[in-house]
Amino acid sequence: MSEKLRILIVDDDRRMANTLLDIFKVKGYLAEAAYSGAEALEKVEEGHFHSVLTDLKMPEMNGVDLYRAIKEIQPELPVVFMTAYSADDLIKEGLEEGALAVLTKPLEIDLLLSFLAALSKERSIVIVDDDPQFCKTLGDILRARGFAVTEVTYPAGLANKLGPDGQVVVLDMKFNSTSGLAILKEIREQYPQVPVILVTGYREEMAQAIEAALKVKAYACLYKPFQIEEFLQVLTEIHHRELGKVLGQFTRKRR
Amino acid sequence: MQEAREYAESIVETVRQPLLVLDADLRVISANRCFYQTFKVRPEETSGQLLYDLSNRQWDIPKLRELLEEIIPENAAFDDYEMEHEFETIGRRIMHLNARRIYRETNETQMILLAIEDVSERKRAEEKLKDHSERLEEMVKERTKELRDAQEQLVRKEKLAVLGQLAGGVGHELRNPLGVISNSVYYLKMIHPDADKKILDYLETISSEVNRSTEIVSDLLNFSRTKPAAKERIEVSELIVQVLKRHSPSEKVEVTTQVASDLPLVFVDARQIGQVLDNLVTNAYQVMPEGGKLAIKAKAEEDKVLVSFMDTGCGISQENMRKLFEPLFTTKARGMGLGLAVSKNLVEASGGSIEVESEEGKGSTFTVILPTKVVQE
Repeated sequence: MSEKLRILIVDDDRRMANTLLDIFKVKGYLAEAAYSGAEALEKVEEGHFHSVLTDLKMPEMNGVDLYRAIKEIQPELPVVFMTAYSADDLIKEGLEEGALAVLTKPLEIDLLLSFLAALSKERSIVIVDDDPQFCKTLGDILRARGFAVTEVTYPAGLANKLGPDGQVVVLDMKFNSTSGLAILKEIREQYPQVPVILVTGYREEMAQAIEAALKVKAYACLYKPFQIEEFLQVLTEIHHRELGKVLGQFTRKRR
Repeated sequence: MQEAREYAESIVETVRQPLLVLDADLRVISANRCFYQTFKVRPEETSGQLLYDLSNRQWDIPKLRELLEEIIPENAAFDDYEMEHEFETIGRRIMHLNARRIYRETNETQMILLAIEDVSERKRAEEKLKDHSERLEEMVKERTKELRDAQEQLVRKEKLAVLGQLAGGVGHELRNPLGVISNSVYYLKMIHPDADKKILDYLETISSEVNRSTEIVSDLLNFSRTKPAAKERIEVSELIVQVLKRHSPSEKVEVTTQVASDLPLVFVDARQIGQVLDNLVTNAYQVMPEGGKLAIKAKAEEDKVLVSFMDTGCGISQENMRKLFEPLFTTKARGMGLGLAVSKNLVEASGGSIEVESEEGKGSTFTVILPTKVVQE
């Protein structure tokens, strides 16, 4: 991401919001503070933020309600909760709504900063399909949305081309020389965690292979032709899950 | 004369207690009906017989001889002489004997009046009563102990509940200002990395005190058990490794671990149980400031895994043993006395239990018993 990350901090405790604001600014982020849910919502409507860090317990509009309202405006916006109350029902509610994590005050600033660093990273995608047309069309769409895209039509030695982290692999299930399942297993050997989305045009024919692939932790399987929105949503889910991991949130599979 | 004799005999006959009249040679002059009935003796084989010869010599009893031949000749009368005897015909009997020596002026002879009271039933009843009263006493004692235990439990629970509420309220409210302080210190350290050493030292002090306060708040909150246990299946060995990673002991403490290789997975809240093990390890180090040994062992027993921490510290006195898991009980100069109370709560929240054995002056062993069974809640 070349532009500076814009973070919205929401807390009715002004000192809390302001100290965080100062720290983020010094670290080179474009941070803004809001002291109520309503004020935060106005800011989200006005400007484009990359993430929202909000207190859970606030008068009038609590953090979860704010998050629900934010999702109406910008559904894919990553939201992190912070709270002083470890036993609040709001925590569960917030996580169920899809928040990345709930952090307990006092906050571990280093953890937050590594989260922001992860958020700043360019999101990169490797598309593996022997159909160059599929690679190109999907690649173009993703590039237009700011992803770094690598297209791979010959899967031999693919695992060696992947980096250690920060990538998502889009993998076709059927090749002339090999199978998607074999490639997936190869990837898993080197990178047990890298998220892999399977795509295939052969739902019935590949059913067994797909089941096997999901067992080796493929994230999801999409059937061609698929809606780009659906695909992007899966990417967002994966992104949020990876960001949650940075914040120490245990994996929750939502699909 | 005849009248007097009839008068005497009618008295003897009327008394509802076995009575015998003996002559100086201990031959039976007369006996009353009650005597015959009680001792199953036939009247026709009684009169004129030597007392000892009665009923196939069943009455030849050493104690009776002692009374009649030694005590009575000297004392003229004797009351409540207790005698126990096994009769062939009527079984074991306990008797109280009352004897009188009577001098008959008419023919200048002596007679002995012997009253034999059969107290067997009474004795048995007394024994029974004694037994009962002892049992009753025991039952009362038991009940009292139960009540006292229940009351102590109640007080403990009450203490816990009040403390829990207080902890919840205060703890949470403290986290907000602590959060602001910790942010502020972070900011200052960040923008003044080259500040005077003294200033950096002071910032570091604030930082570490905030951390300590945060830990205290967490203890308080854990203590009020505000978080339900999030159970999962995990390896005990992993928990132990993590704990030892977090606590490097002083050089003086020698730590050994002995974990059975085929342990089943336990089903507990990993974070909370990790915290319990943290507590136990911290305590173990603290009771051995001059050094010692900490042996950590894990083994399986039925559907449980037992993790024990054996230290060579000062041990725990009997008196303190009772209060060990009570909140706010501590022997440390610094500490709120929540560690073990919290640990007990956390272990119980995961469906386990915690036990302790200790010998004063030798050391203590704390054992955490964790369930392996997966329970859906």
